[in-house]
Amino acid sequence: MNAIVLSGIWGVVMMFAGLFLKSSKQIQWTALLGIIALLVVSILDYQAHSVQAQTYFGMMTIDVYTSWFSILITACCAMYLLIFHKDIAAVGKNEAEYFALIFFVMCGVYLLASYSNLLILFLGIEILSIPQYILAGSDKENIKSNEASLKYFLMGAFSTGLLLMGMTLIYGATGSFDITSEKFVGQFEQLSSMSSLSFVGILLLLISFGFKVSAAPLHLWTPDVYDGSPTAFTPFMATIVKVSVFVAFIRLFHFSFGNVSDAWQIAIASMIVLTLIIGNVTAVYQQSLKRMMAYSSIAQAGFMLFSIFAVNSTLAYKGILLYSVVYSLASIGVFAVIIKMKDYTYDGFNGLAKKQPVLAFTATVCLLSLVGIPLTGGFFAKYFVLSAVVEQGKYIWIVVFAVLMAAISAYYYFRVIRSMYFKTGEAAMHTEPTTWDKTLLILNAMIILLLGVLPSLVFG
Amino acid sequence: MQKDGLEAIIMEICNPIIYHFLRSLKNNSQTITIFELQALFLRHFKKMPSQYYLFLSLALFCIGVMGVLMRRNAIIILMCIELMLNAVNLLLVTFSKMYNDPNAQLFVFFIMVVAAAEVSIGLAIIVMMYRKVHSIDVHILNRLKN
Amino acid sequence: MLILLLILVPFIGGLASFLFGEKMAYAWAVFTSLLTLAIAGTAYYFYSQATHTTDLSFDCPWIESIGSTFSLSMSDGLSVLMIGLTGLLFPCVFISMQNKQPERKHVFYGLMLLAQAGLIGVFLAKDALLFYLFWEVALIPVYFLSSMYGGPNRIPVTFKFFVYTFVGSLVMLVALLIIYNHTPVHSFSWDAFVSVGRSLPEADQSWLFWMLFIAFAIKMPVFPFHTWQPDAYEQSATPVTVVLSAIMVKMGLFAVVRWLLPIIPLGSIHWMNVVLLLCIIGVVYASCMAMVQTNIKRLIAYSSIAHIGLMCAAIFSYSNNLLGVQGAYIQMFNHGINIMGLWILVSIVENRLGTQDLREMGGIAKIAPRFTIALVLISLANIALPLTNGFVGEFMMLNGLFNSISTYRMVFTIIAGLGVILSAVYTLGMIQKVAYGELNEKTASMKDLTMNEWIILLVIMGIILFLGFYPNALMLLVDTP
Repeated sequence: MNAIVLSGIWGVVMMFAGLFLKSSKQIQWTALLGIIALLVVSILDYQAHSVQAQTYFGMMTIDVYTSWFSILITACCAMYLLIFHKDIAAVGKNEAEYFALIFFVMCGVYLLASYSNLLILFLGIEILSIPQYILAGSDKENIKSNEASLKYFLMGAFSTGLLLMGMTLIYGATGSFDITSEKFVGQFEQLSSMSSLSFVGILLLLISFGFKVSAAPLHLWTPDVYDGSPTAFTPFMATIVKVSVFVAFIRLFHFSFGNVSDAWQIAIASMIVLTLIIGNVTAVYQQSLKRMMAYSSIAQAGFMLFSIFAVNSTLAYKGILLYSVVYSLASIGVFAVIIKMKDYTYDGFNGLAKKQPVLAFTATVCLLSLVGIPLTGGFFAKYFVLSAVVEQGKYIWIVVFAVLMAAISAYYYFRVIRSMYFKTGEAAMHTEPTTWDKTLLILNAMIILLLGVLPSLVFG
Repeated sequence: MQKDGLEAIIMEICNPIIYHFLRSLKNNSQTITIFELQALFLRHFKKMPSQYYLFLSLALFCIGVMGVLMRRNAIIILMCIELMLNAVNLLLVTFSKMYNDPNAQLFVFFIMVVAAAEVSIGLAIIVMMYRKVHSIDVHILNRLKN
Repeated sequence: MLILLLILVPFIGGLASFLFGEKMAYAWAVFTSLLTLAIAGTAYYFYSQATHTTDLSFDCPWIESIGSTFSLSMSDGLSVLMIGLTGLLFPCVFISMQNKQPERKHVFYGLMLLAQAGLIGVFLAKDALLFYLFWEVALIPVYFLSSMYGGPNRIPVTFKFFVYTFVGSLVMLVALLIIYNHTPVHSFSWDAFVSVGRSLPEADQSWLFWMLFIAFAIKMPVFPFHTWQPDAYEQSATPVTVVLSAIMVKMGLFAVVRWLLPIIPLGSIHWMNVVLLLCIIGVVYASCMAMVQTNIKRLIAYSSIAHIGLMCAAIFSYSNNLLGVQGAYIQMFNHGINIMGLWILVSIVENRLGTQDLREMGGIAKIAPRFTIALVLISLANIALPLTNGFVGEFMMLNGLFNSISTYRMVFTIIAGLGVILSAVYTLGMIQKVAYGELNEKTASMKDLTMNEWIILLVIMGIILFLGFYPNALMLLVDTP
């Protein structure tokens, strides 16, 4: 609750910091201070809201789950800022604004975590998206960055239109925006009494959601945007933003539309199949690691979709929490290594293990986690979302399909490991990592390994 | 009674009230104020079923969607997106009236504000793009790929 | 607690090896592996005395929300045998390597010890999730080891091996999850799996069987899933090949015994004939392939496929007198010992002569008598000559196959017996090509065994002869499976 306010305020503070603080170091420290403060405040929020509470005139519901998710996502963001703050400042001249935009995005994340009104959902999505359009284009001299920004903007605005139409149609059927109200709940009690307006509305929401999380066939913008954006911002967009949208929509689809799951489950199932195939198979053919990670983020979204697919399973909620954290940390870890390199192709990584053993080791842990090898958090993340589906008893085929796709994903992730460890080469560095960088990366890898042994730590 | 031209069409399609109104206008050749006309129309539209609005705004929305998907000029795409949003606004107002619920009209204001913010960002991005490639044709993006 | 140490010692030892650097690595690895052997010996002592049984199992809640416990147990003869084999094998391999150390020793030994920890975990786990975890964890260090050390073509070959096993184990995971969902209180424990698996209808069991069996069959490997194996054995460095062939393939057999037959009994009986057919085809096919190989490592790789095929067939024989299964248990241990001896000899030949090609060898018997003695004895044990350790197991397995409940048992037994004869053909052919014949310029300068190699091979030969004369030592362990 206070975290929402603080993140907004700190965004403004950062903008002023750009005016008054001259040195780049000071600006970075202000940002780090802000994210630590945000972390502390969200922990305090968590302690304050041990029971479910409604605030903002009943437009937001804060319970243990949402405030715990806020803590986790803030911690991930803190890790992201700690690792990347120098790179963010190096993107362009307006470093303070970049940090400010990141804080605004965090504000949207908190709104999405705890909305109970469609208006807040809409505002959250917009507050989340609009700063990203700017971040994507922040490398103004680079035409790929411009292109990424324009593409992201047009696609994002289009999906906003679809989202709004969906909400409006649902409002037309129910007469309320409040997803906890009786009118709203009554409409979605059973499939037979649901009006066709809400059916179309749900489908439109689903399409818009697919855009935001880059699920196939609505993923076409993703590779270009993630590839074109400055490397410092890509992990932010691919991880923290994406998982927040997942957590937002899992609430909507499970709490509100859970009883009418027959209406939309088949759509999600086809999305999963397409996303997994397209994401994994296309990733195999990439030569640039950054682009490969973009496709891999599509593929990982396919696995996260399972949590929405498995309706009303507690495992799905746990799974998406764990998946969020592990996937975010692992992607951040991989990107932290990518950004240090001069050449983003696989060959650019040849021989990294000899030159920078620490970087190679942490990247390996993160990649193993993305594949889903046991002893890394990625295994349990995949385990929970998949077992949520198995628990329902039907749709076993889709689980088998998903694990086969996970095996394909091993190909392109292990290709990086092969380049780093088993091939000889120069591994030219763009910037040499400092001891502080290495410490953080090792900490990151250790957290992933710890979650691989004790996944219950993230369940709160 | 035999009617011709416009009168027949109005008699067929519109509410008889308007027909009588026009008749009285003709016979008495009396001037009426714009306010009276407005009041008359409002009274008439209240009786118009809300499905009409639904179909109108869905039609607008579909035009917007088709525009986004088919046009190449970034500005026109932006305008089509605005058209989509305004279709939503119209529909929200309709539902608001239907349910007698002010929440939806409130929503409209939020949409307007957010749309304004979005457009300002979008135009800035388009300008940035234009400076680089001297074109706002979105198909150029495909040529830039990789 | 004792049993936990079995995993922790090599695990921590492996991690420490990375930190200690190259100088200490060799001594540290030998020390750790000997310590593990000592713990395994103590555990065996407790097991045979049936005292301190609490030390032989370990339970603590792990992920309570999904009903998974960290439960390890050394409860039956098979796991004792496998632990003994694993404990014995690593120090032997390490000591035999004294003369030719790999590059970056600390990485090599660290990964070897980690692999040992994973393997021991597989043999001890009594919880399905834990079992799966160790199953994968054992694979990762081996993947790195064989990718980093070995022949020129090692990277793609190892990756093929990795992908095969990874696909198999993922499908296995889904099968375990499905069984898990049938358990009444959602538990991963072995007992719960056994009680629920039995009660599943036969239709479900018959496809669950394949989901599990393919994973295990890839690891063993059984005939149509074996294509990764000769390449991987040939390209990996020999110490890694020892781990692969002596223990990792036993993981597959062990998993069949522990996690397939008791849990999916109806499915296993339903598909018994198909599995037996695959195994027997594998025996004959691999024996024929072994006869035409000119590369010594590929020859031993194919001979390993043939032996594993026979063991798998014996396990699936469902003989009335349990002889088949017991024979397979014994043979799993003995084959591990024999194949380790063979690989150590191969690595000696390879290091001294610089070739794996049988055509370039010959006449070694004249200048290296100790080497030849060891080669002949271990090869004879591999053929299962009476009075060597291989004989008892092989005899029991054939006996079990003959008493199988399968309708085609006669055919299977006869063809499997043919496989034994073929194994004599290719093994004796190998001895002849390596040790006898004329010396050439390459073999002329061959040195005989050094002291450390001689000691290790004496130990192995001692075990072979001891178990050949007194097989009861093993029989006591497997008498009550």
